[in-house]
Amino acid sequence: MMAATGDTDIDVEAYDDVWVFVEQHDGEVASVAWELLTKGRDLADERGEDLVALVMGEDIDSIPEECIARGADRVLVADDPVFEPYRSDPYGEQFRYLVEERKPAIALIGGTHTGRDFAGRVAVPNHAGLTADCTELEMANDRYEMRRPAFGGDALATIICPDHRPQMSTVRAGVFPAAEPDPDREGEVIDVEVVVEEDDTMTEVLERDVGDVADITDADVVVAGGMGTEGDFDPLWELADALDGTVAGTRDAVDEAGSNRPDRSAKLARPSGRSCTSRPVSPAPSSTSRGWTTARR
Amino acid sequence: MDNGWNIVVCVKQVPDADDVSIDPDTGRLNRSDAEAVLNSPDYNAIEAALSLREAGGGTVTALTMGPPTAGEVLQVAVGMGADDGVLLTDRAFGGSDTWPTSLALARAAEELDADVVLGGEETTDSSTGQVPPGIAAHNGWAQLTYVEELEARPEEDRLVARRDVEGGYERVAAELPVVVAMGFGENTPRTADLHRKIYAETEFEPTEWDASDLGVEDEVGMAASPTQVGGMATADPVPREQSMVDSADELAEKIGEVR
Ligand SMILES: Cc1cc2nc3c(=O)[nH]c(=O)nc-3n(C[C@H](O)[C@H](O)[C@H](O)COP(=O)(O)OP(=O)(O)OC[C@H]3O[C@@H](n4cnc5c(N)ncnc54)[C@H](O)[C@@H]3O)c2cc1C
Repeated sequence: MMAATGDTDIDVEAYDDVWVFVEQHDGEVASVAWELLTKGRDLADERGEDLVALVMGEDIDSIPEECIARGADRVLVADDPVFEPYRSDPYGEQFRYLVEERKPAIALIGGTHTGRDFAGRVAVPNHAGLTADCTELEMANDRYEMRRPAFGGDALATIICPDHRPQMSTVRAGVFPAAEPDPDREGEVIDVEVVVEEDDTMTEVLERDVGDVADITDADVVVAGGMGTEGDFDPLWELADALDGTVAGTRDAVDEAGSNRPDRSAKLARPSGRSCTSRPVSPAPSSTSRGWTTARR
Repeated sequence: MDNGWNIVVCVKQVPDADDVSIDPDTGRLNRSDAEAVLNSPDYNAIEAALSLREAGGGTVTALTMGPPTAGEVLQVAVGMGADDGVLLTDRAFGGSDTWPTSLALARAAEELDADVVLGGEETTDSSTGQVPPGIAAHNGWAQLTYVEELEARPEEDRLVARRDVEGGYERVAAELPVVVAMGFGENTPRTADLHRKIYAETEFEPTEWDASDLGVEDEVGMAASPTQVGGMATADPVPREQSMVDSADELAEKIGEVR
């Protein structure tokens, strides 16, 4: 696959429209994509530009209509077996091509593991500016300003991207609200040319197992425990019940609870991963505040 | 692959997160007296690199880009068992965002003829997680991020990873060369052997390369960085109170009051 080249002479005027990467797995759209379409709609209106949703996958069905109902003026669909399940290399190559062809000014991407894996790869070949974990996005001072927590949330940095396009931002789930869909909205669905072939890929997904543990990025209330629980998650379950929430814990804490409490071990899932990219209590996603794993009864 | 893989592990020096404070009078961040340490997730990357070497032979080279003092994090890696270390240092690198940072690391990885490049999932200072995918993209190599476990398959020239994805996991096989970002806390980093540690701190000298050694002198630094910091505001501290409650219901009620 093509290695990146840095093109530093970019005519920023040639770029317009706001794009949203609509992350989907097997037809299930990550909720953050709907949140970004709502935010993207506001930005596009303010800029007097179109909102474009980008959907990649295989046998894409009703997603484009839903993107339109949720604010998109246009939906670009790249439908091919090479795009299911997600892999960074075919997705990245397709995105590079679409950006070169269509020149978007802004691209919003969910800050899920998939979204961050994708964003980090696709920003490079287009020499795009990429700002991670934005909590505020706005048009101000005649430019697109992206704000993100820094230094563990003690500061809020404003990041700008004056000379490069697209201006890309990742945003964690739950930062912006998603508006209700409007089934009467109209828009255009475009099947784009697929430029990647299976033979060009460098990776192969051998197995994919999701749905075993609750995805805490979708939970409104998370009651989380660390090593201070000393293996006893009972109070956490009680509180979670009272708040109608989900229980999560750091990996070590869940492991400890699992082995020390055989009566409960059936109820505490062996962590199949820290799904942890939730935005915890403070608006500061940082690796030190991360490391939650979900526990399931 | 008779001699095993060339394994490169990227390590970054960061201010100790516990040491960064806000000056109560000026409201400014006080980073200057924070101790410089190795980014914590990078310990997991080093451990993964050493385990790969144990499984299939080869060499582990630690790689960092930073000021001359960043050599200290190479000492940590060598103390833990890395064979060698390379320091990319040059004033020209100053002000680089993730685009040029990953370019310099990518060129160095090429120079080192890397089969596998490892890094942490993100740093504790700017925590973008963009550098490992950036290295892969600059070189047109495969990437595996949020990795929980690795399995070397030298006979296939592939590396298999179990990756953490929302709601579960996946196992992905990647052709070499490949860039891996290890999940934070996914393995237990070994402690440095005393003799090795003494060697690292007294005798070990890293190889030093500057921007022109890598041929990137016109593509790094502030000018080559698409993002710029346009301003910085200290966040309002969240008011905190403490009280004891007797039951989960009482706590739920209190939480309900502030939600
Ligand atoms: C407040 C603030 C906000 C910033 N926001 C952005 C932003 O949104 N977008 C952007 O492009 N830049 C941003 N930067 C610049 C960015 O911090 C630097 O480019 C930095 O050198 C690399 O990014 P990172 O620390 O986030 O690395 P990450 O991508 O989080 O690091 C992941 C792994 O890559 C490896 N790695 C990273 N840096 C090095 C290194 N120097 N040497 C060796 N290995 C390394 C390590 O293994 C590390 O664990 C910001 C800087 C500041 C001060």
